[in-house]
Amino acid sequence: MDLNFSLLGAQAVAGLTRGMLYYLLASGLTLIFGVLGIINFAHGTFYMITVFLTITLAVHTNYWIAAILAPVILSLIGGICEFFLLRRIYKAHHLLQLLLTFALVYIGVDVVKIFWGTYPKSLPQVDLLQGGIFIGGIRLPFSYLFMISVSAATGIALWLILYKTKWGTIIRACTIDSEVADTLGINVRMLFTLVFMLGIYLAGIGGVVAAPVIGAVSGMDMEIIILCFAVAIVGGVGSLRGALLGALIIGLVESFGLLVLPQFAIAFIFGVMTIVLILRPRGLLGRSAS
Amino acid sequence: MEKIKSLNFIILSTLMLFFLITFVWGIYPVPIKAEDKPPIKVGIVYPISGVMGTIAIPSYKAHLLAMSEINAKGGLLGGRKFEWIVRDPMGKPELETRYCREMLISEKVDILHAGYGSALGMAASAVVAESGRGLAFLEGGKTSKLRNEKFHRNVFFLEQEDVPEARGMAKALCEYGPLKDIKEPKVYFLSWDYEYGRSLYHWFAPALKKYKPNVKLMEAWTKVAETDYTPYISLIAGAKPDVVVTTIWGGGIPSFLKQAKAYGLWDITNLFASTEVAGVEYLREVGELFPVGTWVNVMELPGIPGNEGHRKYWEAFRKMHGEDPGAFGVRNYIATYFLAKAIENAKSLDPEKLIPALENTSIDTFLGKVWMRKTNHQMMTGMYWGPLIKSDPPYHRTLDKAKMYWLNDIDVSLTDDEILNIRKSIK
Repeated sequence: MDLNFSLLGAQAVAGLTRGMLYYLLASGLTLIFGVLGIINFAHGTFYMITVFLTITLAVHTNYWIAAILAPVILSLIGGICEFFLLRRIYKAHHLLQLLLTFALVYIGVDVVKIFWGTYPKSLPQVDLLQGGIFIGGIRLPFSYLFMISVSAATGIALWLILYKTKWGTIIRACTIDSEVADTLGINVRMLFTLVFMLGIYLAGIGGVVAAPVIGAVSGMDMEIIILCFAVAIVGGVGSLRGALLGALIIGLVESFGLLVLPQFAIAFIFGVMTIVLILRPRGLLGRSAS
Repeated sequence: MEKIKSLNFIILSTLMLFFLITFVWGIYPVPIKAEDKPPIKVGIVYPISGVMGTIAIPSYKAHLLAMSEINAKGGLLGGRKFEWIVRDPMGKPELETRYCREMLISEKVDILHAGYGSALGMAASAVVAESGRGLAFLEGGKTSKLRNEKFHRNVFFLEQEDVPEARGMAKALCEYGPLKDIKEPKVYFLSWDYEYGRSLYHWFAPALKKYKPNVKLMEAWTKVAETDYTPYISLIAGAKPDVVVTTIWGGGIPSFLKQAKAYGLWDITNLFASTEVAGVEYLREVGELFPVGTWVNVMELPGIPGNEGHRKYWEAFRKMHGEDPGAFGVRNYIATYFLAKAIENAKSLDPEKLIPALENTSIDTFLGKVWMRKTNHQMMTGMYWGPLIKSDPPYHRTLDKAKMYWLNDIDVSLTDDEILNIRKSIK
């Protein structure tokens, strides 16, 4: 195989696209864990439902309206789940929390089966996202540029919210000690609901930008959630900067690993995860337990 | 006194009558109404939920259709009707093992339909071997290992084995398809990394080299149910192959086709999509994504073969289930009638009588003659191969009738000697 510039560039773009999608999902996952202390196994399921919902809404309206509505609807559903289910188990054992979010996975899969069936679905062609441009011999499809741009913009917006607003300061305070925040008069219950909705909204954005380039099928949630956990572990669970770093590492390792050993490329991600776990168990940018 | 005598007479007469009736009943068996006859118990352990539900549900529904039709005609063995119990292992081998045990040991089913897919097939086959009872028909489970290395007398296979599929692919590519006129072709094989994909490649590589000794065969493996093929696509594009051969199915196929189109992959190469991904369930949902000219293999499509039996099957399926039959359902529909004929031939559900009956049964179907191969218990049918052309909605694509052809499994399967040699080498 000729390792020329265009091939390396194409692999870099592919890795970057993957990484940015992982980041959108892992940032929501890590935010929810950081503030609520819950490992949300159903995060990928919310992403999956958004992809299906985007397809249905796009068929009846158009993709751009669907792209605005779908994450909002999912975020509201997430809020309902938090209000009626999750807030009852914040102080429960982690095992119970896992069990509940795992139950949500099964419910979500059945919801997909009832409303969309078991056959794969595909978003109708989005005219504005067809075609692409060539830069230095590398083809950049518009759909991928859209995914990268939206993910990057969402990441910047999230950073601004968390580090430049009062709400962000409160959220960060809660990640350190929510009980102290509660004694200071902060409505922690409402904050938890909003953070959970924000996390699901991020997964929803992931679903919306992914819909033009992937097919939707029941079961796709488990495939992505495993990678999100890998990203969170590599970057450091609870750290947003860690989620970005982890997502880029996983995306690029997966992509360039193919050039080295295409027969065993999928093993590279978990190889990286294992090395990080051995050398730095809290992840590359994770906080120490102390 | 008279009263007592009369009472004694009544009691004695009643008792005598009772014993007489009992005696006569015992000697002359009174015909039992059909409804009173014991049912033919069928266990169905298919992954109805999860990613495999896409293909397992049409199969499950096809079994129900055939069994309902047979029941409506009065059942088998003089009025015994099919009765079924269903379990959903959700694609998980550990659940498959548990449910197969439940079916064979607790429910004592006469027939077990299970093992959808290679991993579940391995689990189901192991349970049959361990229990030593019942008859199992494994759907999915294409891997030849189950038929050769792990062969068990009580297990039969409905799904096409990977050997004829792999050899059929090589034949279609080199004799009729995109590699026909290329002496030193470049082929890229892209597959999910699991038993079926690896086993298919194991048989495909030597078959391809037999046709094209100078072929450059490249390979890449993704995780099962992958939805992002972008890095693989840029890698393949960089290699500039003459054809990309994929075994991707389910939700993976629309993702792969969309991403390949976005990267302009079909501007520089051709696609050969095996694994029966051009079934109606796929074409209806994502048919437009298949590049025209994609080579595929399918057992049937609307109007293909299009004979009377085929039309009736479609009508009956639509009437019962309110939808079109899926690509994999036809095999299960035919298999149920095949099983019914074997049961009638054996005049029994006893595996010791039913196994030889199955091994010697054949039926004529709308897809031609179907028979069971004695050496490896494989139900032998065949497959249509050919390129896709545009067609009207709702399916968007269909096989090019001018170029398609039917290939019988037996013509590209392992010979009996090859199978026996594999088994001998294991021992």
